[in-house]
Amino acid sequence: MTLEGWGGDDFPRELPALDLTVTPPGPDVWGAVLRRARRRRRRVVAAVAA
Amino acid sequence: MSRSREDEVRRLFEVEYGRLRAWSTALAGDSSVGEDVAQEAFTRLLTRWSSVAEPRAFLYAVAANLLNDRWRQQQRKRTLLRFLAFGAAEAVPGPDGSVRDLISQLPDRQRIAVLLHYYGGLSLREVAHHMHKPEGSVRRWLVEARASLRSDLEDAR
Repeated sequence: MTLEGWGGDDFPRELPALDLTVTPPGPDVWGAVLRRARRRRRRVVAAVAA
Repeated sequence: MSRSREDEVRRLFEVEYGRLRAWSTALAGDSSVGEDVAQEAFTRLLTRWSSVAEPRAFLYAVAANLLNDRWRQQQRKRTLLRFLAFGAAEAVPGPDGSVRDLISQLPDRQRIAVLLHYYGGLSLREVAHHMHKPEGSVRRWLVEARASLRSDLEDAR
């Protein structure tokens, strides 16, 4: 999918558009993101408590 | 992390993840990098949700900064390669005229402003907020970037 003018009405004509192929995420991508964020939060909490 | 916060980010993930990954992939020229960048942006959003006023703008700002870091590393690598490949120009990949290639040649501030405003769809106010600079400065960088991109594109024709 080519998004002409993505960025609003003032998208400059001289700039080429980005070709974007948007597909849905894989089945456990959200789970992986959530686990990574929780690990990071635990590390921060542990560092603050130490 | 509260369940409601995770649910809110999940709803945004379902709407925005595919596009953010495609955007990052197009700009990085590598789908695994695009995937990493998009996942990292959502991870940071989850860890900082309570302090983020505009989640979508935040995602694109994080992704643009990660891509910018990558471009800088690649530039350093290219400089080194050029030095090592003295007399063997074919060993150094040349410009390919893609959007990615054109934008990669802009100075950092112009590059981030162009990525976020023209290609990420953030308003001038949102870009200024994430770059911690006044809107006037962002507007000036965009004008400068367009002038240099126009000249690069004319040279390429």
